[in-house]
Amino acid sequence: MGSIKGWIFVLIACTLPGCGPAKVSTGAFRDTQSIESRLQRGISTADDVRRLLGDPNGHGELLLSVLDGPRQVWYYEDVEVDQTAPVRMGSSLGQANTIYLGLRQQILLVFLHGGRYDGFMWSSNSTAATGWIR
Amino acid sequence: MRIARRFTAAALAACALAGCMTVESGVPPRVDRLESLKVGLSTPSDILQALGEPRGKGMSRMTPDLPARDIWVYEHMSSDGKAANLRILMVFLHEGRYDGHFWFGSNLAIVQGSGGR
Repeated sequence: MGSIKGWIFVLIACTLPGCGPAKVSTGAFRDTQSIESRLQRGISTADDVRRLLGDPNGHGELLLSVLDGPRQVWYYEDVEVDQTAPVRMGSSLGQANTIYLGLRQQILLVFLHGGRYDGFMWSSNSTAATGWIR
Repeated sequence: MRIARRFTAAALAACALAGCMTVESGVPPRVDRLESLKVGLSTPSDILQALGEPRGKGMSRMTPDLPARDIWVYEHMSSDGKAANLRILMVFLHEGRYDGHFWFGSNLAIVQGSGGR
């Protein structure tokens, strides 16, 4: 009976504002080929990157001894909780009620060197996503 | 007792989904301390002292002519049910010495982190 109350509580909570699918995104960026065709390594500026991809929602840095200096990293993310479901899992600690979260996630990292575009790294966990492979 | 535990777990999950609490995994990487590390000189002990224990380890070979490098991974994820904040730091080691780093994360995570640049 208590378990049923628990699931009712979950269902009620999920009807409250703010409990819809969570989404953090700078927009989709599936067409990585356009990055290669519209940005030129060592020539395109940070402003060119911003015009093509918009403002990043994060940043970072890459430093490696074999590189001729640190790379600035612009971080673009497209993250969405697209599925939630209650599941019951057994473990060595006993049985527990768990909420499964389905997460669709794309990450695009753009590298800049001396204020110029220097390359990118893209990944997605969605099987529908298509990158461009040379 | 078992029923109460189930109800509590369900209530906590619902509360997290509704955005009234924050779910966190890991500790924000101390990227502000990377400046204390010197390429080719700093040892694993130096890295531990600066950054703490990594959450994981790995290896990379970026090009065929480059030797493989060990990687120490630090990560932090938090979500309030409406937005997710991710921050990842990878520290490269070559022949037992610090060889560089790679970090990135969302701006909110950087602001909330423990002193990012």
